Amino acid sequence: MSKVLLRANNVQKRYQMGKATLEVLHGVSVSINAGEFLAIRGASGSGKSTLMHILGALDIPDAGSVVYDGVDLFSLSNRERERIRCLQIGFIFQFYHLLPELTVLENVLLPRMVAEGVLSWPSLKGKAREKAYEIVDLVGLKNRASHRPTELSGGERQRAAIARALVNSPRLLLADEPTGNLDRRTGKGILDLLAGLNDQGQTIVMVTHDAQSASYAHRCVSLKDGQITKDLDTD
Amino acid sequence: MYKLFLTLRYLRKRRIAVFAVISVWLCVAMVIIVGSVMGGFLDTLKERSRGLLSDIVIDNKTLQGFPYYQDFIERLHETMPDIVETATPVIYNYGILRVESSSFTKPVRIVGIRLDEYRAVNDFGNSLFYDKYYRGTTTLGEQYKPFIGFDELDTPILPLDHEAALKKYSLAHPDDEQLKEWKRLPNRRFPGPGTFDVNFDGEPGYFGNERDKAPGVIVGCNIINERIPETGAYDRVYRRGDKMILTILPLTLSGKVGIEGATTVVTRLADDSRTRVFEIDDVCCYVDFKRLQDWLLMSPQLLEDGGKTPARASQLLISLKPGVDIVEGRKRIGTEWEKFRDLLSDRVSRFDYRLMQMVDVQTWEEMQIQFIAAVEKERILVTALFGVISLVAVVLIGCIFWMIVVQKTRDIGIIKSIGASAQGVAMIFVSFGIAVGVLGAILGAVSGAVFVWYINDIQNWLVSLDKDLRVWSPDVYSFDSIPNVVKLDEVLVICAIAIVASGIGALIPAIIAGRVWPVKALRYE
Repeated sequence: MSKVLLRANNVQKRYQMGKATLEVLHGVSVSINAGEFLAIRGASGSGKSTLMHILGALDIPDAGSVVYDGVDLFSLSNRERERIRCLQIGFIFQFYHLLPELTVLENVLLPRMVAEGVLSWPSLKGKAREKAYEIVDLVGLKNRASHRPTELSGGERQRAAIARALVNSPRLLLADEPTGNLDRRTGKGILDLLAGLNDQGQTIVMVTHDAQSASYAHRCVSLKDGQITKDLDTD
Repeated sequence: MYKLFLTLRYLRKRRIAVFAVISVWLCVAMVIIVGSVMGGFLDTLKERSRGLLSDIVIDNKTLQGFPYYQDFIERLHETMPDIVETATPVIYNYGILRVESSSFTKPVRIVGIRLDEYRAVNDFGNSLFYDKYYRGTTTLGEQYKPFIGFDELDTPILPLDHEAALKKYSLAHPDDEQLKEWKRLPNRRFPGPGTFDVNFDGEPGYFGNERDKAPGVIVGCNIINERIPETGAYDRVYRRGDKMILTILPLTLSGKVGIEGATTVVTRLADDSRTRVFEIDDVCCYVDFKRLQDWLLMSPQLLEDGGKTPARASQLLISLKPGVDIVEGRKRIGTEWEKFRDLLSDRVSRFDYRLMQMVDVQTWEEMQIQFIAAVEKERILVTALFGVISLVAVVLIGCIFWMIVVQKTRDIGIIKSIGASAQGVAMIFVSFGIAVGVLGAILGAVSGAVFVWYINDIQNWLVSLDKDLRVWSPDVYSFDSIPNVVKLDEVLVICAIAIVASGIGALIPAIIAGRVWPVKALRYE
């Protein structure tokens, strides 16, 4: 039996919208095993992105806990949480979120730079660049490494974003609608890439509203009105 | 590492930051220019003040002066030979100068000096025009007028002593460009330094009968010469040895005009002095100390009881030995003066004792403190004003960085999502601000320094376009050129302040950037 890498326990989240309080998550509990490819499905506004942000320690729940590798993420200090986010978790966003001033290679290298101090960087720079090239090659952007995001197609940008998420060899990859902004053919390429990574042992949590995308995952959790309604194996 | 990397990248890619750099650049350059010109003005003022006074000045600030100055000089040499180098008495008074050949008159300050001693206590010797080229020919004693003659080819030649002195000068100064220009040619007027009368009979020399002999006077160069605005050089209208008539008003001890009224004396123009302080060069005439003392009835005068009044001087200038602390020297000389005065208290008249009681012993700086302090305050005020104006740059940097933070909100979310801390994000913007400050400070320091170095050339160029564009008038600002010295330490301080201010300008936007909640930032449109 695979080891549980991440577990959300009774996670609750509400937002204040003016005078009204919007309950986004109502006690969501979910476990993700190491090496698993989990899809979180739901309609727009169901709370799936909020859940993903909380799972990735980008957002803080109002109640409940998220345990990563046996450690309650929200009992840690900000600095410790940032460290885990930097080294253990990789994010892929629907709108790629690449820095426009940087080339593909520099965008990919950025998480490595965040992980290293200014003093240790000179000695690590060569190796880090080498690894970044390898990953850029892995996602099929070898010839686009020196291009800026504005010079890339949507699919290429998402590949670059995946490469950035992988550069620190994270144990968990969180993808928020990774194909939501792509045409079907390009989206399929991205999903194939994610499936390939998962085959190599990468744990992936993918948020999607699309059933076809969710079919790439081993398991699919359905979210409706901030609650899990289904948790099915898709294999 | 990402902080440095993104700082440098934003500096290159965020064009809006160019405006921040330009504002820092202009502010730094502006403060350096103002600070250097005002500071240079103050330094020149101090340097000239010191050069024209001496280390220590003893003065009772009355036209009657004070007695027993010579006894005190001797006492100083006896009691403190370790600190006193030279001491000389000076008399100052007011009078009217008229050039004999014209009806031109001018109110002047007449200064009585012992030329050799006066030259030893201050830089006065360096201000003399004729003495520079014809060293040794300037004297305040009785003298004739020097005449130029001609050799067999009708080439102008100077009196023997002038020729010898000029030759000596040209040997000592082979690089003097003006000497090369002063080529003497047959049947031409004398082209060299100064203006001389001509003996058309041929022989150079000093001519005249006993009646033509008169004491020398050194006249402030602005009084008798005309300045050529284009070059700043002086056109010497009057010839060396021309008669200058001085009218002075001797005062009695009680401060009234003497019964004989005004005294008129004939002197000969021995030299002109250019100290480069307008207030001095425009009013001061220098004559022999002993003669002025006689003319002003400050030399010993016969009393009704057969006794004599003591000789009086207005000032004593004392130069200290090298390395002597000037304030310490002033204290010791001040104490010595009090001892000297008390020693004489029962031997001098009540009035003389009162004159001696009014004496102040001051350093040159204390003597000029009011003027120097006023300029110093002016300098601080102007620099501070420009510093305050420079705060605009800080506000501008704040605004620009605010705009950058707003524009970069989503990027901040991305950076945070990959593990950057709030402090790290804030540091990117503070470092960016500091980088803007460093770049602006370097550009401002270089351009400000270059502007100051060439400030006189720039003014000359502007004047060549339009004479009304002259901003620095030597008549108004005392010195004939704009101070153009840039002090490295001041530049470094200004640059450091600019860099810190730029960092502060970026601080609030940086803190805001650091506090950006990543989830919100990632959703930011």
